[in-house]
Amino acid sequence: MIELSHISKTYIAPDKNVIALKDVNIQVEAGQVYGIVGYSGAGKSTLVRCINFLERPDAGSIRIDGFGTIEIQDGKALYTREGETQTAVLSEKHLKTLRRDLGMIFQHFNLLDRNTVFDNIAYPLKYTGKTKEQIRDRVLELLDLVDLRDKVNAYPSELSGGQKQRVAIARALANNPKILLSDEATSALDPDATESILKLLKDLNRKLNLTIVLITHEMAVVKSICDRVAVMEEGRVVEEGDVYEVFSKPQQAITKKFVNTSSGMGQINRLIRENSSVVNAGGTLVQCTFSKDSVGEALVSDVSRRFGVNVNIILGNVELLQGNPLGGLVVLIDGDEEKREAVIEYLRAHDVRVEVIARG
Amino acid sequence: MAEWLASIMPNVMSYTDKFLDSCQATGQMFLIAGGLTFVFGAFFGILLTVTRPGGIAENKVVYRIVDLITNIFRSIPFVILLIFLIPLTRLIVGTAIGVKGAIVPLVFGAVPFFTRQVEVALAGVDPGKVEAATAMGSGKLGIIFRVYLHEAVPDLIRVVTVTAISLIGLTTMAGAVGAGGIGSFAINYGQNLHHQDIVNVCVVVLLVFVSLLQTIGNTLARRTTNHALFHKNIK
Repeated sequence: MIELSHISKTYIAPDKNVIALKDVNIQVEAGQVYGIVGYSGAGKSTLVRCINFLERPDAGSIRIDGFGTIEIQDGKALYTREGETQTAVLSEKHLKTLRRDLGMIFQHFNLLDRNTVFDNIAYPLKYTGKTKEQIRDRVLELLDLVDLRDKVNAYPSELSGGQKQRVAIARALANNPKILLSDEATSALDPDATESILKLLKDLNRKLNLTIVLITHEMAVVKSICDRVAVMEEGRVVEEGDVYEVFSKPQQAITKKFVNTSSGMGQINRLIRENSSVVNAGGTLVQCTFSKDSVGEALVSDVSRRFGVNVNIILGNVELLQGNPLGGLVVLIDGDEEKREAVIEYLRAHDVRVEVIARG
Repeated sequence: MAEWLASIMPNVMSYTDKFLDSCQATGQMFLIAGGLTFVFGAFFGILLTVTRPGGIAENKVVYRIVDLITNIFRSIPFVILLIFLIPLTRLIVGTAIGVKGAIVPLVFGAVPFFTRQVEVALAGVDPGKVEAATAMGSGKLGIIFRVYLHEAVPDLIRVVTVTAISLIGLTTMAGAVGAGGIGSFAINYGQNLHHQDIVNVCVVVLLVFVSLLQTIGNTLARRTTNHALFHKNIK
């Protein structure tokens, strides 16, 4: 488990200080794929770097199973080894131990261009007391794991983006870490490569019980592989929870925005902005979210029969999240004012999340 | 052959011994000063890279001092530096003339130049690679040797070439103030005795040497870009 408590960080610059993290608390259970989503500048990069101390928080504590706790007290980093009570000032040596147990992959792969695939993956294995044969065997094993055995002697410049990220993943896993940190690992990849890398990460998560903390600005990534998600805005975690819960019942404005862009429901905002005749024909424009219990029911025809109103479907979408269906509809309800309200009440009573976008 | 050479450069042929001695002296100055410049320049270049703000061993004091000294020596014209350093040269090597006396000012003239060049070459290494190495638990020495120096090899080869060529220029200038070598041969026997052929031959020798350096440098830099110098295949 990874537990970040009360993490704060401010970048001090001569002209103005930038608050990157404000009292952030997150808990990642072992074996989970945990997504951190937010726009650029939200602090997600800084947060993930606090886990392996590439960034040093100004306050707070970090506890990692199998390693121990690092606590910042009065600007000093103190380390308590797991199972012990004695604290020591955090040293380079402690950090090396920590980092060998935490793999990390990056948006731009960060492979060494003058090293072959073999030497890139062997990098973290050298100077760890392993023999040449042990290193060779481990590298080949890793290459099989990421399905790149035939590229062992290639240079990064000869690989595609997806292949480079596979090499980076193999390198990050070289010392058998239990946790993998992923910093926008698919943001520089084309859709096909993105899909195959996400599939690989999910496979590794299952096969090796690898805990993955990934940051991304793409909700699609969260949707396809995460178990839990934290939404960040201006250095704070504004919403956190099980992925299905967050997608079916987003609370914060920013979360709704993220959810809508990824489901295509955000299209409605464009139609409104452009004053399309589809949406300004009169009537109440509502967005309905159907979760597990309501998605199977024929509620639209039900309400139009029951209340004698016209329900015009503007946008519709159904997707699978962690194996559960999640449906979205934007409809224009036409009819008497009272009937429209009654329809909304009825839908809400049937476990549909209804949000009124505009009343016409 | 000897007759033909004597016909196109009569004066060179009558001073063959002097000419060969000069070539040797220039060679010595180049190799010794070059070797020392390489070691010191690389050291200070790395020092600037790691101690700079945001570097892996950030240290404002060290960075400012090395940066300042480098700038000071870079801004003194070499001919002035030669004279300025005479007392220090006497102190270090006991004499201010000849090959021995030239080494000290040559090193002082070339090290700041090479330091800057190394700094620029290392600044070309993607900070992401350094971050990745840190995240893998690499220490400072590991990052310097396995990331910075290793990844910057093509650029380092280019700056070594540029520095070597400028060092040849410096040795001839040192020759003008009593260090010997091709520079002083061209002045004393060519210019002062009105033997134009001697000056011409000196130009040709230097031209060939510089071209050779440039060709080797270019080839090595090209071969090491995105590639190991000695590639080994794993089966």
